[in-house]
Amino acid sequence: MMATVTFDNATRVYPGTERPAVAGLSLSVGDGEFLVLAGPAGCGKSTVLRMLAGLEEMDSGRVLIGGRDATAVPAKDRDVAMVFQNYALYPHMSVADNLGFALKIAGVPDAERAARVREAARLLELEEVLDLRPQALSGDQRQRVAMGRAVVRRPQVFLMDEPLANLDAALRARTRAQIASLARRLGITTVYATHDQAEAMALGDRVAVLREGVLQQVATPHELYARPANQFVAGFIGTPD
Amino acid sequence: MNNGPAANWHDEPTDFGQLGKLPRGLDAPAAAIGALNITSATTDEKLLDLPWDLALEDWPVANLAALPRGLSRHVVRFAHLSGSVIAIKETSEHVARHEYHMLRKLQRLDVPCVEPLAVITGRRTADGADLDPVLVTRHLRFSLPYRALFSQTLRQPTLTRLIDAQALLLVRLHLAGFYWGDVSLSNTLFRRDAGAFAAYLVDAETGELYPELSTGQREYDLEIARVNIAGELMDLHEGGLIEEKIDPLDTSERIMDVYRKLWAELTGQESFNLGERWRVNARIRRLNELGFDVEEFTIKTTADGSTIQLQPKVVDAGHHQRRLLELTGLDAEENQARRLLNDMDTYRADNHPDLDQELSAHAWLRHVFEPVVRAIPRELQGKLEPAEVVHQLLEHRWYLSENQNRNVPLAEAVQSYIDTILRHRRDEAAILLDADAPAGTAEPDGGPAPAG
Repeated sequence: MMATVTFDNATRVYPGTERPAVAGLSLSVGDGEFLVLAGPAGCGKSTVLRMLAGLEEMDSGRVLIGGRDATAVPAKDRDVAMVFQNYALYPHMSVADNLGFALKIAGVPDAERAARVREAARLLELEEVLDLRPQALSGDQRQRVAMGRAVVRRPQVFLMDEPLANLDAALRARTRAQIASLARRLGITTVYATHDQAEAMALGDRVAVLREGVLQQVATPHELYARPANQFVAGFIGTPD
Repeated sequence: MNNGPAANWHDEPTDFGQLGKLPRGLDAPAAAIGALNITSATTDEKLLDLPWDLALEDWPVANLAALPRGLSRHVVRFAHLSGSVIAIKETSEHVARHEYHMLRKLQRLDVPCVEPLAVITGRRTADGADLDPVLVTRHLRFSLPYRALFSQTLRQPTLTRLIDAQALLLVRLHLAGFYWGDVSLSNTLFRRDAGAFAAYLVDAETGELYPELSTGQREYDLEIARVNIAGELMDLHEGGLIEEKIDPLDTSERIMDVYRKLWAELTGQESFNLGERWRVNARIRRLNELGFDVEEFTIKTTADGSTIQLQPKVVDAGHHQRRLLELTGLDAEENQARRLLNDMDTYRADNHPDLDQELSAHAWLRHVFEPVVRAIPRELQGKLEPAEVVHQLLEHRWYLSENQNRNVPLAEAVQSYIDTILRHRRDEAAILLDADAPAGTAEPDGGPAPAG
């Protein structure tokens, strides 16, 4: 199934504010592509993700998932997985149950749940520890379990909103590398928001730079370096965090 | 006596108009190498006595207040500071700063949350290795993590009350324009409130503040709440810490139902005929019953003048709390206040039907509340808050009177309550019990794996 994502002139104005949080966004994400939304806090990244997830109404424009107009489709029917910024693992549950609990909540039958958990564990190299409790895991392994919670859902599209923002520097670097390799192995279309230009450039097949709700440029990291569309883009990608 | 490192103290004013996430690049000015950099609105020198040159995981037991730790992705420890207990969380500088300012904003908005004390950066070990910055908050006296609310198993009625309190907190946060981003029982503290619970936000790390929230933002928070609560209950289930008959999924749905009903009552538009104007007052009374005051209504009349549209615009929690405070100067939780006000009304009808409300409130304070509080022996004063003690005593007196079919005098009820109930409770001023995570074990998440 092709899981392209298209924003067609999408605009969102928050109640009580004048300036749109996102203004006339037109942007296409290819099937299996890893697209990074980048820009400083308040540039509209999270709003774009929430519009795609169906958690934010749009004031105008459309959003298409897999070529179908999803603008009016409720969040639960969109088959996108918002990777929560929540890494708390449950101490009494095995790694397998920590991986599969969201599927249980979603009503996925036991056999299928077990199969998906095994598959995610294989991809994340967690097969050996499936029966253990989180206390017995290393920091890295715990991080992979947290990621695996989204993997087991096998969505059409992954949405990640600053998933690394709250990790310490060392763990952030390791997890970043894992996310990059995992996304490519899975081939699931991913939209990833970050304020960190180094993260954006390291992860993205392409990077979309936003400023005050307006798309400035979308291009490969190489192209952004070589031919920034304006001074803002040049400044943003030229200043490591 | 302070043998710690030198420290730069500075206050960093909170920009109360700033929306969304805290912008990056506002980090504190660098301190001299080897000096701690402390951002705080207050200067408590005793803070320097704590071993900031050690990772939190390695803090000596002598420095720790043996409090239970909830589920956290960070290392969190509790310590004593100038007679109170503080919570210390290791995190990144930006996250600590964001949360510090967010909690200050929430406090100003009068939303129930923990009090931020300081952000400390520039921590180094004796060998000069960098340590993570920390956020310091003051522990709420008499507040309990949900995992400390049961010693053996969590029962359905307790759980229902916890979820109701959590839903009310979420509504209050959303009314204030706060999007939480990580709603869970673990990120909430609970205070006893006359048979119910009052919920306080303890983790504002993922929070953002806006003039008002969109439906999408509120729904996202609700979805996070549902999934997290289901996960937390499934975990208790797995650990045998919850009544067998409780279904985690069904129970987690409750937060959505309770939240939606409350939100509709507090914000929903109502239309009625001009002749039914009494419905304005009825709505106000319903909101008061729920514990809210209406500060502002939007009232519109249709073009032909036949129909009125009514919508509360600004509502403010704490209706009974405010009334109790005005009448007696007592500061209590909402349901405690409701309970005490009821007792005050009964007292007035029985004893001073001719006195006005203020005078009879003072008489009640002198002849009912204060004698009860004074009768509590000093060694039992850490068991419960005074308002909760008085609420429980009033309940106890009612049961005694029912059982014995006579009007049990207050003094007798007080003695019976102290001997048969209060003395057998644990101290909850700074709760020490946690069946799952005894002090000294590893964090369930984010902390070190146990040795071996």
